[in-house]
Amino acid sequence: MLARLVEDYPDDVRLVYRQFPLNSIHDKSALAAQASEAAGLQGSFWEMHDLLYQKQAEWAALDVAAFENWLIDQADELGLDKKQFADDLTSDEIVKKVQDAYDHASSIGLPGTPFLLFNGYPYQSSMAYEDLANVIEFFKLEDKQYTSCPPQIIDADKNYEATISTEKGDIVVELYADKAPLAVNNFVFLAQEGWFDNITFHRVIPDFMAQSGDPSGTGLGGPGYEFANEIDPDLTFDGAGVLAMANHGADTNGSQFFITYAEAPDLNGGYTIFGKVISGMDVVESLMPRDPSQGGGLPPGDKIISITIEEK
Amino acid sequence: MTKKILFIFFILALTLVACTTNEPTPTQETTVEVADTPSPRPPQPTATATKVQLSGDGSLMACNVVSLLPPIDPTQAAVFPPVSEDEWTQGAEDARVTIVEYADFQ
Repeated sequence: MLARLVEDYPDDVRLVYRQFPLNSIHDKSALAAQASEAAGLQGSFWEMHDLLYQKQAEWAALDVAAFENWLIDQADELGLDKKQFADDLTSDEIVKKVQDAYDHASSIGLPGTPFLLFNGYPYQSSMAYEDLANVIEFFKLEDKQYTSCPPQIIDADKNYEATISTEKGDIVVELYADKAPLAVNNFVFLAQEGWFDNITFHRVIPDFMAQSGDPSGTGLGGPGYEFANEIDPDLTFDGAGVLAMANHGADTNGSQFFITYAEAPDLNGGYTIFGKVISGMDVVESLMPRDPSQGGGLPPGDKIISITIEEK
Repeated sequence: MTKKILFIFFILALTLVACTTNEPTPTQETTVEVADTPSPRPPQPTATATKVQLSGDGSLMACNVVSLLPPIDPTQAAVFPPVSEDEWTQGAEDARVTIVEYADFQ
C-alpha cells in the first residue's frame, strides 16, 4: 500500500522504513528484518522488503532454520551475492542493528505495527489505500492555505449568480449577497481563485444533501480561515436546492458548502444559507451518492470542473 | 523504565463520526485525536490570528485565520528521531509528506 503511494505521488511522498520486529509474538521477525538489512548491504533493501511482503504466505509457516535457507535462496534469485548474504544475514553487525532498532521502537512504547508518522503526526488508522491517499491529499492542502481572510470583493447591492460546472452538467445558483454577504463574498472569492476547480462532491447523501468545497476530498479541509455564521430567520431549509455553508460548529465556515435534496428543518439556524439552485437541480440529483463515514471502498465522487460567477 | 507517552492518533474523523451520530448533518469533519491514556482535550485547529474587517456596509466581518493541522506536541515530537541519511527511504527527498513506517515483516 505504501509503495503504491510513493508510486502514485512521486513528488509528494517519501517513505522511510524503520524496523520494529515483534520478536515476542513473531518467531521470524528478527530474521526477516536482518534479511532486508543484509540485502541492503548489497543495495537491494527495497527489493527484499517487497519480496518479504509479497511472499509472506510462502514463508509464514516455515520454522526458523528453514526460513534462513529460504531467505538465502531468495537472495540468490534477486541476483545478490549468495555467500555474502548468508554471512551478513546473521552477522554481529546486522543482528545488532536490528536489535537496536527494536530496542528503540520498544522504548518509545509503540502500540503495534504498522505504526506510521505523517510529517511527524502519528497515524494508526485505516491502512486502506484510499484512506492513506486521503491523508496525503489533506497534507497537500496545506500548500493551498490562505494566510488571511478573503478581501471584500462583492457589492452587496448587486445580484450574483454562480454556475457550478460539473462532469454531469451545469448547476446555476442565485447567491444572496444581501442576506449572507460574508458567505457570498467568500464563495465568489474562492470561485474566482479557482479553489473549486476539479474537486469532488465528496459527500452525497440521497434525500439529504450533496456536499463539496474541500480540495482534499476528505471533508477535513478548508481554506485556512473560518468566518461567522449569517442566520437570516427568513431563510430556511424548506426544500430541495437550498445552498448553504457546511461547518463544524458555529462560525467555522470555510470553503465547504452543500445543496439540499429535500427540506431539512433540523438544519435551520445552524448553517448559513447563501443561495438557491435556479436551474440544474437534475444535475444535483444525478451526483454519485457516497458517504465517507461508511469507510473505504467508496465510488469516486463527481467533480466540479469550475465555478464561474456572474454579476448582474 | 516505562515511558508513558500519549499517543495522539491522527485519524480521519470518519470512523468516529460513524459511531457517534445517526443524524446526518452537513458538517465538515474535524481532525480527531484518540489517546489510549488520559490526555487533555485534543487541540482544535487553533486560530493564529484574528482579523476583524469592516465590510462595505460598515458591519463587522468576523473571520479568523486557522491552521489546518494542530501543532505537534513537542514532547511527543522529541520521541521520534528525525530522518537520517543512513535510513531506508523511497521517494523524493523534498517530498511534501514524509511517512515514517515502523513495521514488522511477519
